[in-house]
Amino acid sequence: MGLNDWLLALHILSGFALFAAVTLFWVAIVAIRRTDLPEQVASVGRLLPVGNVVVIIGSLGVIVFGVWLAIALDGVEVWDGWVIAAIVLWAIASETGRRAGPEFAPCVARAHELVASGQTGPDAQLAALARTGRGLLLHTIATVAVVLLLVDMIWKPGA
Amino acid sequence: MDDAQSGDHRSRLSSQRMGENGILFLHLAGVLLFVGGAVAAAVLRRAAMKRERPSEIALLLRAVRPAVPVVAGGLVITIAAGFWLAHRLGFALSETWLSLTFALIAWMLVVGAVAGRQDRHTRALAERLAADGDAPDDDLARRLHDPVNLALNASMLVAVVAVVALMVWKPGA
Repeated sequence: MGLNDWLLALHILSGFALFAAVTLFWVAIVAIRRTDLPEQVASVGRLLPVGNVVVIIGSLGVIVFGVWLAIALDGVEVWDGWVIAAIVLWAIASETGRRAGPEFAPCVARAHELVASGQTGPDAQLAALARTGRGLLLHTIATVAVVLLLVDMIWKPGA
Repeated sequence: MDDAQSGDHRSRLSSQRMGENGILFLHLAGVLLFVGGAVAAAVLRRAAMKRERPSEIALLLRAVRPAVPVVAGGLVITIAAGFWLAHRLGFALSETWLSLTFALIAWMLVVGAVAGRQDRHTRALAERLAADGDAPDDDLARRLHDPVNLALNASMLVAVVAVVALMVWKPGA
């Protein structure tokens, strides 16, 4: 069991964490969009910090162990086209994912405000905030970039 | 003639390589769906354990439902593409690392079915209690903190990590 095997295992496990976080965010987005009840939005909103921790661990692990692997492996260089494409896709996924989070923050904040003031009934403003198209678009772009990252890792175009 | 044969051979190899890449993509996409869905379900369940009000618990356990087809579909794709890939790459299914992987997958299937059934009953109880006054309930809390259920769920996460280790190191291959 050499260092490269460990790097590969940690790279793959980080990929799992990244994909798990993307899935968790999808579950949270679908759950938030399905309801206009403040308590339910607030409950789901408490999952988002967990997703944030997992996505940070996953995305940092993927890039750190991935670049380390590219340096350590014979026949692979960091400046290979498919490696650069992977880094670009990683950057797109990270940035769009990072920007998607704040799009849902006003919705969760509104839900907490309503719960704190004892209003537990449906709220039109909450529903509108939950259905943010920009947040959904950014998360969709992040998801597509992660899937393309997997495609790039397998087919290694240009290698 | 030799050139033509060599060209054919290269073309066959290239097409086979594309095929194997496609199968590997399916296999890994299946694994990512399976693991992603399983981790999402585990996080939602863990969040439910920290709540007391049945309506909040019911909401979080209901949110697990969309993850179930993701987990099941991911596992089916993983296994089907895994068999296909093993066949294409010439791995014998009796090899130690593959046998251990099959045993771990069987464990995950059985445990997933048992733990999933328990969670469905817990969710139904939470929904009943939510509709009936939404007061905290000892039986609901006991079900959520059932040590057997927690151990089964934890064993699945350990099995996932073990399968990754087997796929990377292939002991005995």
